[in-house]
Amino acid sequence: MSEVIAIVSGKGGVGKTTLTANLGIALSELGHLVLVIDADIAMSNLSLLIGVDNPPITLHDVLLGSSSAADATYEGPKNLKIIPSGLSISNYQRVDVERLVSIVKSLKNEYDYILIDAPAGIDKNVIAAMSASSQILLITEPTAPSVADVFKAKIVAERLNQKVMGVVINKFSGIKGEITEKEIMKMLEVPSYGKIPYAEDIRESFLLKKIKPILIHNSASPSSNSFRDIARKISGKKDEVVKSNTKKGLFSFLRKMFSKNKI
Amino acid sequence: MFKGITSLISKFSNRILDIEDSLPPRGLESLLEYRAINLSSKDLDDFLLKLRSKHLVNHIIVTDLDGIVIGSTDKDLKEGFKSAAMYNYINSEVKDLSIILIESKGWQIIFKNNNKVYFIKANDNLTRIEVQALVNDLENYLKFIK
Repeated sequence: MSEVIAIVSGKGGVGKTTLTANLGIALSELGHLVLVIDADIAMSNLSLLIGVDNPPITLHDVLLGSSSAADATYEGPKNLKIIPSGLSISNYQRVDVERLVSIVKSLKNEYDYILIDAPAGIDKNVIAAMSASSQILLITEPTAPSVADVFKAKIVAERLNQKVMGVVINKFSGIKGEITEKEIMKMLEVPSYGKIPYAEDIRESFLLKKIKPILIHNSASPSSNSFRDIARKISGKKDEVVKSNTKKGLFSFLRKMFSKNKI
Repeated sequence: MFKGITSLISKFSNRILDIEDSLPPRGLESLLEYRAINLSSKDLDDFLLKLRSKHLVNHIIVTDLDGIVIGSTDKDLKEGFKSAAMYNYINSEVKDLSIILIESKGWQIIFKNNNKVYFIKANDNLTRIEVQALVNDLENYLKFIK
């Protein structure tokens, strides 16, 4: 029975697709059988990041009932499997997105982890992605607009009685004015699964002629390692999830105060 | 003593580094006031009021198949009787009826579940998933109070 995790942010451009792709690869590297599903049926681009170009059968066909999930499953890097979403606007308008729940249910016995890349917003497409999952992993930037939107997404998850496992903080640079990890955990009342630094190499990986996830483009970079850390925490191989009520002491305070790198 | 030293150093460093992290980030104060709705209640009508707030709908009315109101957030109990009558009438005309959606001053959603007729009034059309979440909450509550 697999763990089904929806990656949700509320706001667009926060890094849901980047997290889904790289977390999927990192979990695969740990030896797990992983499927990623692009549930962003209107603005899909997970397949571009994974490197599956122009797939003939997509999630749209599965949601329309004209193809099986197996027919829409493709091979990505490091044995990662992907069900991409289609680019057709007419199909997008025809699909019954609520069928995603039963589709994911039918795949649960085949994988260790199923990661669902949810769309931005809190509309019915996001609700379907949340409802198809067993847990929700929030992702936010350390900025007020992003935290406000992820908060709304968390409220929607509560309405649906879905479990929010934690939050990942993306594009973290430690500059003055950013909302701290502690403050984000306090507001969302969930633990942090880690921080991904704001890094040029992630941006570069999107500018390549053929886009690559950072774990493939620059496997040894700090950004890649932060995705691996999150994967280890999720798979239980590293029990370092930062709880919102972490104890503070003088030593940790001084270390934080004099540390150059606040990440 | 130890706390006092920590507080002093904290105040000193905040002043030097111009950092103030004891206040919530600007613009997010209202979010900090949000608390998840606690549904626990011994009274069904009170529970329905809380459920209404949780699921962001205007009214929830639940009747048996004869239109006798089991619980309601609407003081007008005729609404419950009318919804059951409407459900029973349309159900006799349309085979395999699952849900009735009426767009009139917002949305009116009528459906049968577990020998009860649900009548939900909302500003927006709810997805089946949202309706199911609401029904699950109520069914769990009814099991609990039995």
